[in-house]
Amino acid sequence: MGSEGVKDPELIVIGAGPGGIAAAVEAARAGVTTTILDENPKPGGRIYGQFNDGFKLVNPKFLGPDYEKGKVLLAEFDTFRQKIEYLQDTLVFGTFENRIMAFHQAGKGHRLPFNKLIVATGAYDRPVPFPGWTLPGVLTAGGAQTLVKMQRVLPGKNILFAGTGPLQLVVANQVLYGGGKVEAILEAGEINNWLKLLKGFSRNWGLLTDGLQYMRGIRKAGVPMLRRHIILEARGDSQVEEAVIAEVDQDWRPIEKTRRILKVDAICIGYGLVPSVELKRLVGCKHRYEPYLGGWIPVRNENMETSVPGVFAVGDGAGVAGSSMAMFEGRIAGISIARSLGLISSEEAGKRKKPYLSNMKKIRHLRDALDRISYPRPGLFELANDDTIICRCEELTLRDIKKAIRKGTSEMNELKRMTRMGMGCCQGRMCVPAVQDIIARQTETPAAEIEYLNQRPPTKLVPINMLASLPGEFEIRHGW
Amino acid sequence: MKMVNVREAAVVVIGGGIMGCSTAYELARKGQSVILLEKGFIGAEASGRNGGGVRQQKRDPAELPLAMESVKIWQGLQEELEWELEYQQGGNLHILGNPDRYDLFIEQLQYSQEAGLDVRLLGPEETRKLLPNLRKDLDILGSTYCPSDGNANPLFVSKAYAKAAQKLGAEIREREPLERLKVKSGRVAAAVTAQAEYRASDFVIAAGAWSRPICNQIGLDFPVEVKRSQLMVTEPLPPVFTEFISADQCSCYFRQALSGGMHIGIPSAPIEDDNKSTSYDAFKIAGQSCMTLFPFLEKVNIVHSWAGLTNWTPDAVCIIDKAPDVEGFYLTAGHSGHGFCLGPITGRLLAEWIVDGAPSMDLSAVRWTRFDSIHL
Amino acid sequence: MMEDLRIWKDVERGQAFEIEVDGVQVVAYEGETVAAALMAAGIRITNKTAKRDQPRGICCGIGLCYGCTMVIDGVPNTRACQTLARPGMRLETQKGLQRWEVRE
Repeated sequence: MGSEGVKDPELIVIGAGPGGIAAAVEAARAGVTTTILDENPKPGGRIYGQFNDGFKLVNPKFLGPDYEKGKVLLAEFDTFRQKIEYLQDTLVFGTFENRIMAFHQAGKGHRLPFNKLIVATGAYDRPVPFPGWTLPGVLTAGGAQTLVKMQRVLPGKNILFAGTGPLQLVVANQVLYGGGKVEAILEAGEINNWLKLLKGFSRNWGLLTDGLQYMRGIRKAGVPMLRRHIILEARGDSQVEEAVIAEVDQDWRPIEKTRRILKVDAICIGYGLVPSVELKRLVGCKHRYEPYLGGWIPVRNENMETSVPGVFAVGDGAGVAGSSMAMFEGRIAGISIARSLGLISSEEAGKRKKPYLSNMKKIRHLRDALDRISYPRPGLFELANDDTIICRCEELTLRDIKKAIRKGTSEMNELKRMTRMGMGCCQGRMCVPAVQDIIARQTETPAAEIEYLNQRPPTKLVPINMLASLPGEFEIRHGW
Repeated sequence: MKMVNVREAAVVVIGGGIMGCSTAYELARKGQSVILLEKGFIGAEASGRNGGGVRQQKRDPAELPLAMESVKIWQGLQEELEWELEYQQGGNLHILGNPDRYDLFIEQLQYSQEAGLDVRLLGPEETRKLLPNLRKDLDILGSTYCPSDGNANPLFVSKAYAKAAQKLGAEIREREPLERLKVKSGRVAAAVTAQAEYRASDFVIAAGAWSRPICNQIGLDFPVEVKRSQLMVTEPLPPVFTEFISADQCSCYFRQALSGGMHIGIPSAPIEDDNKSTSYDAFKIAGQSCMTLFPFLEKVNIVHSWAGLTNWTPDAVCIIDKAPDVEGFYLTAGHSGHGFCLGPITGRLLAEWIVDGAPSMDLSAVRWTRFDSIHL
Repeated sequence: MMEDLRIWKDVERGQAFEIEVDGVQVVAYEGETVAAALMAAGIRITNKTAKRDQPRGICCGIGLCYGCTMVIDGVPNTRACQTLARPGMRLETQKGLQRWEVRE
């Protein structure tokens, strides 16, 4: 890659989760020269993540059914390893004019032109500002999962889960299985609703059995599952010591008289995922606002191609829909790209896509329904009070943001300049989704109509020595 | 017949960057009714995207007196506009290292000193004393150093001027791009937008890289090339230096903001469209420049990058002038990437010209008519 | 006696070694991130913020939130969750903006 005499790959895949791997496999199967750029040390992404060297898995039981699915996919990937160039610990930080991308790997900066590109960068936990959310001991459900599953460490001695949907049940079970203590699990919605739903789809779907299994584990351990409950505040001197919780109504708004305090030392927050769209925005893909799929997602056709020709998007990063959907989408994209490069006929492409398309159809109904049930209600966005930090990096409170909006700055880019919101190291990931909602409510504008932040490189922080080592020589010039 | 909303003011200013907003403010101070039209939001373009340098040294003699007068205004500006502008007179330092350019810098030094500027030549040791983080094995001949130069936060200045202008009665209209100028009997009768027709006795064009097509509408032109200036900023660092730094040995300039991030400016380059994203080259050039001057930055991360559009005249000197042969039409443009410092004085001089009949400083060196073929 | 929040069930860990956290020796295992080693020892505060001097710690676990930044082997603003623990590593709770060592 990029070296003398070696041709640039026909397809570059960014991300090695289920979406990226499945796409690379299908592309390679059809003979497309493929390179995967993975920011992690081993393929699998989040859900099928593999242990770092040093750990030895003795009994995979605690990893649940995902482990088996991941093993199957990674085994399939292994059969194509000779045909796919897999670059680990590789951080893509920008795409530029003339379809060039830059990344750093093994201590050096690199440049690579891209022809066909699949962006499979996944999603991250929705930041939910509430009083005390910045206290050490408050983790996201995803962060807790990474810690418990991949690092085998408990986030605390007495853990509270607060969120919605099945993810936190998985993590809670892992905590219990590992000998940890869970104080309670707060589900903001109605669990019975999604159990009912799962029952309707149980025929070809193991999700119901998984769901029931998780619930059983929790009940067996005597952990209270408090439906229609939400976290109101995390308290503690310099780390979490207690949590204030309450029952909520249909709109997730607290019923004041049900307020009470739980003595916990760790709080795991899981109110859904937000797609990571930075690279897609940077390359110029058109996005639309789809609240049930996590927020802003790239517009795609049935081949997973975005509005930028040759750029495809798959997986949670294109709309939060889970690992199975990610894999199917990846396969569709890989096959479509092979077809567009003329390596397989339309007929052959159609044949290969068929089983995946029909599976996608089956899951989609279920996913749509699940998403609607777990979709955050207004109460979630009203947890923050004026003193609550909204922009963690720049330490701006809700009061600071509202003040700027009142002074006449309601456009996201202008708000950023006036307050420094979004200028920190997280590059707006932790604050912009919340700020979007704040602007929407303060100005009574639908979130979909709020113009997003201009996306510029770098899409992730990049050290200066990596930039200095990028290929290219430039004469010294002046004149700014 | 379609009803047209007609508005009147003494002056209409087109462009809401530092030039337009300072002009609106200075006019309002003189009791003039002003309407300012800005196509986006105040300070959205070059005025809010630049490196923040408020610089007098290394200026063309045409601009030097203007820069020096402007700095006098800068010194009291935060108080005057009642807005924290993060203005600091931290100095401007240019590190010398190219023997071929040395004489040029000495020449600039000399005429600047003759004009009364506090710029002086530092030897290599003195330079290193000011910048202990400078690469130890870098060959330097010394530096030109001007302590009264400084920098400010470009994100605030235009808005501060606009708010102050509003307080004095000026009308600031954002998200209102100019559609066309209405010309009648050789003079501009109105500025027309989608919302209204704005009539005035005098019009000021301060629309940065967008000024030229506006002037073309009344048959006037000026030679400029549109260039993209790019910047990037690091994660916050504790205070390292207060100077605005450039060097013969590398392409970039450096300025540490009060919020801690190190701003790195990349040389501007011609551009066809209004692309405000940043290029691959910019990242390589920035990285290289950092390692050339300040190796302690090697593990520091770049967090953001951005770009702005600037207008470059053939002599890299701006235009501040009344239009030749067209009544009531004023232009400030062509700042060639170093207009930020001149914002305050430009507004003042234009307001004087419009209200008092003449500016209080000699602007012949920045006249429009120094170029050929300015009539279409 | 430092607590240990590690789960020992169903996995075997590699070599144990020590890392230094604000002058105190803390055990870590091969393959662990700094964040995991700290959490296991019950250490959750990684830095105090520059403006409001507020305590922050590990939050998103995947390197996006920059809550877990510490000074690691002299380099400030380094994410604990993205750094593998290594024998003899020096960690300091970062207080606001900290000086970057000049490397010559």
